Amino acid sequence: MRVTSFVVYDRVRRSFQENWQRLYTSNEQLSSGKKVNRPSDDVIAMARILDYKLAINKNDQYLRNMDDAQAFLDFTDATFSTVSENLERIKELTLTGVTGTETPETRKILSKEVSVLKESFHDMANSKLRDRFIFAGYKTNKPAFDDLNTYQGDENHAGIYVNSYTTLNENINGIEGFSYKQKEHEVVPFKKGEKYIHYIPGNLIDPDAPANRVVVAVSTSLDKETVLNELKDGKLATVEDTYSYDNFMEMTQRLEDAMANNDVTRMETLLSPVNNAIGQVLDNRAEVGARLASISTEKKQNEDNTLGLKGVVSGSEDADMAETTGAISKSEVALQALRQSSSNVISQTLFDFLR
Amino acid sequence: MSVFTLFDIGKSALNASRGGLDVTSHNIANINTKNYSRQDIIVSAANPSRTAQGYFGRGAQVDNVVRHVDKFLESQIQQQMQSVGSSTVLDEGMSQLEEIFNEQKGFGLADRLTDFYKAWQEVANNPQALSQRTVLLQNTGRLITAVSKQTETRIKEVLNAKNKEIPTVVIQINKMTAEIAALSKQIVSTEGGSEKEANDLRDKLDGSLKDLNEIIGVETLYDKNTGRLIVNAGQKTLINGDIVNPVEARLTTEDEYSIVIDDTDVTTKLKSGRLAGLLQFSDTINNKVLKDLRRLMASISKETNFVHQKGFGLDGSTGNDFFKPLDVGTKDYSKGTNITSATITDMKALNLHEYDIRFRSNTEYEIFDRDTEEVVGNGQYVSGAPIEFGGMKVVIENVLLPPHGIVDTKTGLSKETEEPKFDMPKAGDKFLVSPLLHAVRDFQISVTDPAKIAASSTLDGLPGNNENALQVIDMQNVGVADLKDATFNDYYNSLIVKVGRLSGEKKESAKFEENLLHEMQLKRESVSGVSLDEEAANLIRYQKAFEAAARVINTADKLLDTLVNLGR
Repeated sequence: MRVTSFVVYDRVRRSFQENWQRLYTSNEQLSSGKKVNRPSDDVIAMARILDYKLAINKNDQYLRNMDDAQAFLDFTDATFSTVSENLERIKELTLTGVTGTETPETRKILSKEVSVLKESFHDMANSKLRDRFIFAGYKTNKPAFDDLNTYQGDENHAGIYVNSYTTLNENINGIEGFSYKQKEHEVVPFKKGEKYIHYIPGNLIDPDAPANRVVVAVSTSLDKETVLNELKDGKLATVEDTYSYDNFMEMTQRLEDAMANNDVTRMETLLSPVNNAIGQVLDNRAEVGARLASISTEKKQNEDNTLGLKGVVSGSEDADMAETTGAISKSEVALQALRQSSSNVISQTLFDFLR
Repeated sequence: MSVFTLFDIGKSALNASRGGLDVTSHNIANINTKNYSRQDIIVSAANPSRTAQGYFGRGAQVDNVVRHVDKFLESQIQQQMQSVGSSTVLDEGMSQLEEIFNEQKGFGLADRLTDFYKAWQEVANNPQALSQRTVLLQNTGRLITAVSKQTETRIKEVLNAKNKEIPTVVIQINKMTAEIAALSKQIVSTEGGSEKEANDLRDKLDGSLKDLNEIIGVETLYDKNTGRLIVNAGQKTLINGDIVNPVEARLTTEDEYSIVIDDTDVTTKLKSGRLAGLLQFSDTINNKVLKDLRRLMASISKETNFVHQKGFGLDGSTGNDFFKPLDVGTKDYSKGTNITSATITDMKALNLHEYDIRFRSNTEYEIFDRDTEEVVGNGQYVSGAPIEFGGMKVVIENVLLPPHGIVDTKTGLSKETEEPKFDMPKAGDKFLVSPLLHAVRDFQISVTDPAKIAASSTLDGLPGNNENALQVIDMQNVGVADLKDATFNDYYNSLIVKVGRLSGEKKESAKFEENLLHEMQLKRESVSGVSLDEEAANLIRYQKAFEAAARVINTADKLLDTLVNLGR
């Protein structure tokens, strides 16, 4: 091949271009810290980066959802913890109330304390977290229980996503939280003589009664049918005393009344419901605890997953700094050498030697 | 034989050397001239004179000045210029386009889309609160701005910049073809049918043809008999000797051009050169990139609205659209008819495809699905009768012709025609009917009152029910039929990958074509290029020859002197 002056110039020019471009690419990688700076740099890596970034982004949101739920559940648990303590106190007061050494006057004093605790149940059942009545099911804009202790909420649970396929229920509704559910007709022998305490689900007597109504009856009869029929008809033959309550507040109200009226029998019939209520609160706390535990497991998984994904993204898009810096100095040395050699080559022709 | 012959030989030698020096200096003068080919003189011995003693040489004669050119290489370079022209413009355009989709810099759409769903999650977490709903409205606004105000606008800017180049390039082509025709005429008249070539003019012509090829791929040939230059583009004649057919760029719709030569549409026949690259770019953007982006947004709007309509807002309202419902956009490629209305009748039947209504004759039309490339229906055309397909209803009407007078032959006065006349559709008339065309332009939020965001699935469940919000969130993870079962994010990612791949391919091919051209140019340079060292050597060579020739004349002079003084 015949080589002309232009070919030499052109080679020099292109070599400079190539070197500058290499330097530019390395510099871009160094300044952005990324080796994939635009989709066409590495289409496959780009697709992977986008997928993983989306997953990381979603994980972030699930984490926020869980933080939210955690705050909610912590608050619920704290509320139940107080409810539980108060119920224990009520149990103590009831046990004190039924002992023979107490007088009507002291029982009246006890009833005052029970009244305060009753109010606290009402307040706690209407707990509010960020403008949301937490025990009202979906009806979060209204207090769960009105002044007459009627439940105004519903039995729904609001779920949130903790990952892309699992929802977790946040709330315990007012029925679960503050109304003991009498599942079946129970009979307990009463210690004074031939009497029995019947604890009856309210709807066995009145189909329209709230699902959580508990009817308590003191009867001389052990037979469930007899007592049920008497209560249905309203003709009380064997039944000596009967009352009902729908929730903790009403139950406590009955207790307060019994203490104020020095009605030891009623106080005794209320001992078992108080115990049941304590049990129910414990169940609820266990449920809340289980949800919190699952959140913390899920959070751990989420964070591990995010960390792993971030590693992969970084591996796909981050430039190797040492390598990049190396490449830069290599290009610089090459440029330097090129300048030196080309200045010699292109600056001389035969004309320089003619005289 | 006489002494005077020596003068003649010396003179011819002086001439030949001076010719050599001329050409050498011309070469040196043009060392940096573009398209210049190295020239050389062809010298031969003059016819000898016959004597009884034998044949005596009569000196040298300059036969021709030739340029060193490989004609095959020249035509190869012209071809290669075409590929370089189209690949360069595609590379420019695609790399600009790619910057718009550059998610790596964090301005991309993907983040806005994620934010949109994050805001829905927050609404699901707190369905009763207004503040989270307000954030959702804000994030939706940002999604819309990111898509319509930024992504689509910027794509359109890139597209428009390239589109604007089309008429400019066409003007340039016309200027060049006129120049080329003039140049070729000049060559013909200069050479005057002789075999001697007008070297510098031909260099210039070759150069102009290369430049022309870079912007429009042409086919060049020379008439065997007359040597007339013929240049064809898109199977139509651009130049034939003196005749030059101008190229026209006609705007068919707001952002599409068709290229016309000699009243024939050659748009699809242009395969290479910058102009073809520009047309290809416009086609790719319109039919691949913009369409995909619009389809994604149309799908988000459509699917979100379906779910949203089922839910209940805090104020108990239901059946509300979250986004402004989709509308049909049309493009008119016809003359005799107009689309008077195009509406969506059944959102559920809408599959987000683009359709052409094509007229086979003035009474028959067919419906062509651009996405599946299938004819999906046909019918008899009645002006004003609705045409229904794919959940859409289109009404096409004949255009009222402007009233034109008829001249009364008796009075010579013109009077108005009594009945208005209507134009008719013509075979080949075409309408684009697309639910995507304005999907991004009209992408808007419909809900303005945060209380109307339907997070609840039942009226009864207000305000704590978040099931409908959860349904909306679910859509993020579910494939959508209109998007070929991809999720929104997948579809967007595949769009980015598509753009990245296009950009990468075009970058590669531009580099490849450029390198190939460069190789050819180096080859050309090795044939036609000027080397200073060579010319310096030639300069010495011809100078020495000139000196020797001068010496011959000097000798002849002395001989003559001797003879003249012989008689003294």
